[in-house]
Amino acid sequence: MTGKEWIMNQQNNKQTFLYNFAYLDENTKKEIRRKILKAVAIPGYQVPFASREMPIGRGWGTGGLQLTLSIIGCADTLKVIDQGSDDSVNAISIKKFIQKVCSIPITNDTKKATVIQTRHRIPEEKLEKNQILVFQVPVPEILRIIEPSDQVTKRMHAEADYSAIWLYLYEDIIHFNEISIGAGYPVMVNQRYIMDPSPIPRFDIPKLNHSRSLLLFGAGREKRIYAIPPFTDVHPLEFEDFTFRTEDFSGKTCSKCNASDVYLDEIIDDESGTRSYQCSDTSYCEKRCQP
Amino acid sequence: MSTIKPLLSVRNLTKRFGPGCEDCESLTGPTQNRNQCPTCKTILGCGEVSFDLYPNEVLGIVGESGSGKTTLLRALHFDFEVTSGEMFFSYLSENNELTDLIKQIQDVNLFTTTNYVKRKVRNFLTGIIYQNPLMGINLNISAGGNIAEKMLMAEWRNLQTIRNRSKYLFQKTEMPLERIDQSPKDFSGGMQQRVQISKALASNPVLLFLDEVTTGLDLSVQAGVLDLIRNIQREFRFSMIVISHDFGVIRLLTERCMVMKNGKVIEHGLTDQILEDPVHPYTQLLVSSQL
Repeated sequence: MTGKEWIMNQQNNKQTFLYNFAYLDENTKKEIRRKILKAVAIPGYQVPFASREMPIGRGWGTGGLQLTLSIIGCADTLKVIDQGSDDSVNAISIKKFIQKVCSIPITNDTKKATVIQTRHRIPEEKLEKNQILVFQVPVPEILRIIEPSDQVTKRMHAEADYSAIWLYLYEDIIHFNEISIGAGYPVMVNQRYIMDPSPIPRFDIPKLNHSRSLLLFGAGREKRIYAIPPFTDVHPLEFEDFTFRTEDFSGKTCSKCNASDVYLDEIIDDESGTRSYQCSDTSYCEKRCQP
Repeated sequence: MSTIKPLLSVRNLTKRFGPGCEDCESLTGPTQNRNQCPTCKTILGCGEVSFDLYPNEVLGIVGESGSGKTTLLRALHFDFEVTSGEMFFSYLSENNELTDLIKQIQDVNLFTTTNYVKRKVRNFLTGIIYQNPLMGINLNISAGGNIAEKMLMAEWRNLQTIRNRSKYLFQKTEMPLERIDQSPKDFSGGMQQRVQISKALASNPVLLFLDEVTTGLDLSVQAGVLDLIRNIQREFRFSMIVISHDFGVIRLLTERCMVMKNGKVIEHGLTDQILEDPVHPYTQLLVSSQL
């Protein structure tokens, strides 16, 4: 099936086309694909794109959605997660929308998906070469915490003038003996650009390094696309004597599937006040629970 | 003498502020006794300045206010684009980290290279101390952080080394060590200047630019700071370009000096010679006006 005959208005038995395949018109998709190619060619560099109005509000994953819609084809299988969960509102509404405009199979199984759109997590199961991970990014500019002007941050990236972000880390360590950035920890991509990995937990940062799958990042509100091609060096910023560390879950396991080497959500019982932990990646947890 | 290669060669450096016109050349300069072109109102910052600076040498620049001393220095520090001119840097380094950069900039006119290369030269090879300490330091971060910034620029990535070096320089500049983590906005002007000096020296630059460093300091501190700069220069054997209108400073620090007026160099030679036997009438006036 080609794009044009996708969704037809069946009213009055007249066949008029309401939407193109995957909602976006072909020119928009072409533009986004070109920008993706540029982003892949310059790992970590933020490529501006003409972010379209989408049927969901900006800031609700429109960047990731536009990336997904412009790379998806009839043969793809889609998975959408929101902080590891397949069943949260954001994930469900995006999944429903994409299914409506593409009629492609949806899955919860990480292994079966070819395109995975994610908000703030990387699945626990290792991704393969044939898979593409699409991140929803709220604020793509990592230097925003130290510099409000976009003109200046662009110049800083161009000149690799990154002392200010290093200084930010230095001051954090001097004042708190800890780096206060939790999610969205800055990473150096391909020894050139410092990049915002989107607000994924520190736990997921090592997965970016030499990832087997293509990683795409889309910020709809900020109109930026960037990418990490497969097998690219991605390292968190760290000092020789103050190294990067991830969230520590030692001694804690998932209360449902008993997994210990995964990112865990802390659940506090309101009445008894007891704490328990559960896998943040729900499909991985369910898979482990099945006999 | 001819076997020693100059560390820095500058040829015909010209900086004009304004559009420039055909008359600029003939209507500005010391012979006309003005640096603003009456036709197009363009201001001549510095015109056709050429000189060589040898390793471990200290060059002085003297001249009245508005004669283009600071413009020259800031042009060499790539604070802005120059109108025309050439700048070559050649340095033999035992430091392996610098060899790549040195190779990259060999026989290259630095004024026409990319901002990326300029930034590297600035971060790894030079340091600047401005007349106004607020231009060189950031009041929103601690004094120690300001000094650390220069080392972070030069890609020092060991916290302990950075910390020790900051403390060492703090002590060398006779600052109370217990105030190292305070913001410089709580410091006196003299102390801010000493923070700036520490910062400039922090990453062991091979070329240091000094712009009227002692002008705002009280006399007792002036002597201390000059002593410090001289001692550190002898200890680490870097080259310096020193601006001052105080002949005492020039006599103390420099071996050679240039006299500037209306953007042009009117006389240059050995400092002692210029001070004892000035040739140009303006230099004679300058020297005889000393209290």
